[in-house]
Amino acid sequence: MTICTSSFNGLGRAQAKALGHPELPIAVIPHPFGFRSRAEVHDIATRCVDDINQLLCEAVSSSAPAAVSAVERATLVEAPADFDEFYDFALARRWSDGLPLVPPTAERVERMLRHTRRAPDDVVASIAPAYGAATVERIAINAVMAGCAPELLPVLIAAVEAIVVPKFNLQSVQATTNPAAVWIIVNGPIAEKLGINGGGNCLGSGSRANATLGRAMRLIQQNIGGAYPRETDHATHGQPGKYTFCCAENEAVSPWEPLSVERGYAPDASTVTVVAALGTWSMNTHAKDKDDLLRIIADTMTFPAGSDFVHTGGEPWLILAPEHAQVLKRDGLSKIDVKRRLWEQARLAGSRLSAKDFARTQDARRAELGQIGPDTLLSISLRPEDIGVIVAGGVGAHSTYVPNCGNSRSVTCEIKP
Amino acid sequence: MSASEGASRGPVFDVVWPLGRVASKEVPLAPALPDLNGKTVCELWDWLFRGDQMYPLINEELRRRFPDIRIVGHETMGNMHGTHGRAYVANLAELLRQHGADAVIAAVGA
Repeated sequence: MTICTSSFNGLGRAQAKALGHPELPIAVIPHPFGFRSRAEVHDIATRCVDDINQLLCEAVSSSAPAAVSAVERATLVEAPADFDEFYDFALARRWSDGLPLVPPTAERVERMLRHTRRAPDDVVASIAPAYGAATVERIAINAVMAGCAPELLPVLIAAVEAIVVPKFNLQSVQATTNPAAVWIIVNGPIAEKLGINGGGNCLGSGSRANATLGRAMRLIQQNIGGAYPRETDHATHGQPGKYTFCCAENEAVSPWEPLSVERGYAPDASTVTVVAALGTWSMNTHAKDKDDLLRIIADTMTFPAGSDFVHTGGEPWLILAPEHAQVLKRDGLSKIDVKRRLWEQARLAGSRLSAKDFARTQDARRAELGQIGPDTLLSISLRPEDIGVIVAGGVGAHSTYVPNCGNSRSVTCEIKP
Repeated sequence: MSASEGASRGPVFDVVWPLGRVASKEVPLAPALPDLNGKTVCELWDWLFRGDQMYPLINEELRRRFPDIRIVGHETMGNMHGTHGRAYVANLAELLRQHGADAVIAAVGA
């Protein structure tokens, strides 16, 4: 059985159902109770024991398993042709992220499916927390609704393959109170071919591919994965990146090997990398030498409350502006040199944490760091290699820090036809 | 105006249903226990939030009501959360067997 606070009961129930245990006993306690008196908490615990006893010792009637095929082709439904009416229609059925959708007509979906060699009923992944089957067809339907050009489908399929790799920790990314968004980074020749922007305003507006790929991912997370805001997606605030978060690496101006090559792919391979991003933090500095520049970047990345890195050792990401990357290259640094320098410099003293967070960190990082005291300097990641670095953007002295979510680690997959 | 009203009044077209179907299979629950006396209950926690405060209170009450209950606390069961979480879950069935668990309480967010 599970004990769950009232705010998370819906998620717990949905999760149990998705994992094949719809009748899982759940004892519910009030949320939150962190500020309650000891007497009140004692009363909550006493009542909880009533539930524990009842739930563990009383048989529940288990319904017969429903025989459903997760992979059968999607059905056609009649929808209004009028724009405003279709908008309402989609909202009422919870297909939308809040914005208008492109109607997923059979013709549009078929047109998109022509851009992959995979069969429409081929299951690409099972997506948490509802563990919906992401068939090629359902990915295509959501891509159509997001406004994707048909040729973007293989990029999206690879991104879906990437988010379900265990180390990405999708279950947590989907349901967390953190503002976790799936950031899609595209590398290789396909980026230019499909117009995926890695230059100026690459994380902003102005590119159909960037806007719709990221949006399609969000729709897939919701419509196939079941991450519904305020129900199973428990983000306290969320962030604008949960509408769309996608860019290419600006390989043409980068002084170093691209991310895909760094991760073992051939220079002519095209890849997607997914990162569970907590947001973006612009760092505007006109530093013109490596020491000055890295000091500013490291100081910015090292802050106590904005990232889980202090608890677990994270995987922070850095989007270096081309001008900043050129400064570092000119001063003799390779990409791994940059990572090592940041790893050495971006450290937080244990004393800067709250007492509760400090205790959590002491437990979580003891094996790595030994006894952790107030003066212990906590590295931003377990290893220098865990710091992600890409070069992207246009002119200007602005690099961007992207903290990642908890125990999630980025995943790179090759884009295949 | 609701979507259905709109659909009934104006021109319509067919669209493809975009929502996913659950891919997992239903698994039956373990039989209920007749009584917690004499049974071994293992407790799991993610070492976050308030389990360190709730479990002692719950255990005190459990032992008061069921004097012969055997509780294997989260301190013994270890931290199920973090970078090792998947490995922990993969080994959980064996761990529960080792402790002779009759029931398990998982309190991730308590």
